[in-house]
Amino acid sequence: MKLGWVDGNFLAESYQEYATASEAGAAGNCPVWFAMAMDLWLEHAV
Amino acid sequence: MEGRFLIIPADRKANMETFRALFDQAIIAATRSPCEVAAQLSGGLDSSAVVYRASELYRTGRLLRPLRAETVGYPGQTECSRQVAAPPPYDLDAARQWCKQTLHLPLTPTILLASCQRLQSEGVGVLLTGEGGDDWLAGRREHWPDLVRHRRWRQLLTEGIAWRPSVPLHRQLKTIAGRALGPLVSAQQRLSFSHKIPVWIDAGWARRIELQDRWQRDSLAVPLPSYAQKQRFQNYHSARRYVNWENILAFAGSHELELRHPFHDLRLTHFLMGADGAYLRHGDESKHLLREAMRGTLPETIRIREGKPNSSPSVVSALAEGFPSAARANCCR
Repeated sequence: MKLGWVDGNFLAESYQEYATASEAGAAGNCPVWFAMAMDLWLEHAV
Repeated sequence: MEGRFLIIPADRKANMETFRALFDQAIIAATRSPCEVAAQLSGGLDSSAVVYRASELYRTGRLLRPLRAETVGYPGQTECSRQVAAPPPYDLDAARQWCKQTLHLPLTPTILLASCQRLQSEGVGVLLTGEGGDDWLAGRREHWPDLVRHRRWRQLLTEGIAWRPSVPLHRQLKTIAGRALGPLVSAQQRLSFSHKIPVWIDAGWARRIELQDRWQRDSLAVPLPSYAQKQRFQNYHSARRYVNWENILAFAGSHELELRHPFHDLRLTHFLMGADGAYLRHGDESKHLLREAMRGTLPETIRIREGKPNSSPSVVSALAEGFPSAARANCCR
């Protein structure tokens, strides 16, 4: 999310859909890992 | 890799026999080492094929040593025969430190991350993976534009209708036309999946830094005769290799562990680059060639399974607590 490279709105919506599906016992996916990983990397790479 | 190096068997039977022989050869080659060799076993079709076939090769005397299987369980993995403790929470500070020291992306909590230190202490020097199975063997219908180019209409229609037989005919025809003709007439549709910008990356940011052009410029132009082969070759040179592999190879190397991928064996690659797409997928069954080759080798429950447990839910849950507020804060900037 640093430098505005990720669409925060999309990510938040995606997470809400994932959380709802998980609560209902369904499988889901959410790109939260990629955003977190890039943010960690950007702390030192720029 | 030019077209003249491709291995293209004459028919379905020869195709299967060639695949079996090359897969055995790949496993035997990948297990040669003075160190102990292990194989990562995720429970999916690809890594199971490596482990079970290696076991058969050992029993028949074609491998000198048995292959050690390395696996971990995740919470919610119902088919796991033994109870597993909840894994430790993802250590963000450790990930941050890894980025700082190496300038690599942090690693997802995979079997490798969970096992590396222990494998090193137990003298394991080589770890086999099932990497490449999804890339090479899934059968993603990337050969359909080639069927149009060669006017193989009957095969195109047969495969298209068998793909989703319950869908109304007019929708089937629309899908077939889109997938078969789209890449021939549209540069955007010719893009490999690895060059498409994920929907969660901000479109304005991607345009500003010319992300798609940079990914395309980074790809290796190799003269290959068919559309399917060009698409398959992208697996070797996709932009996501920086995310998927370079950090993992660095981490394994830091534990004196060499990762080897039998499905990326060069001879097997030559075969799979030339494989007829109709053999890779049969109707809606992905990895048809591998499933048929593993008949009698794999337990049926594994041979016919479509998915497998994975760590994604655990990762998302582990990161979830701080995520929604962070996302909200950022999207309001």
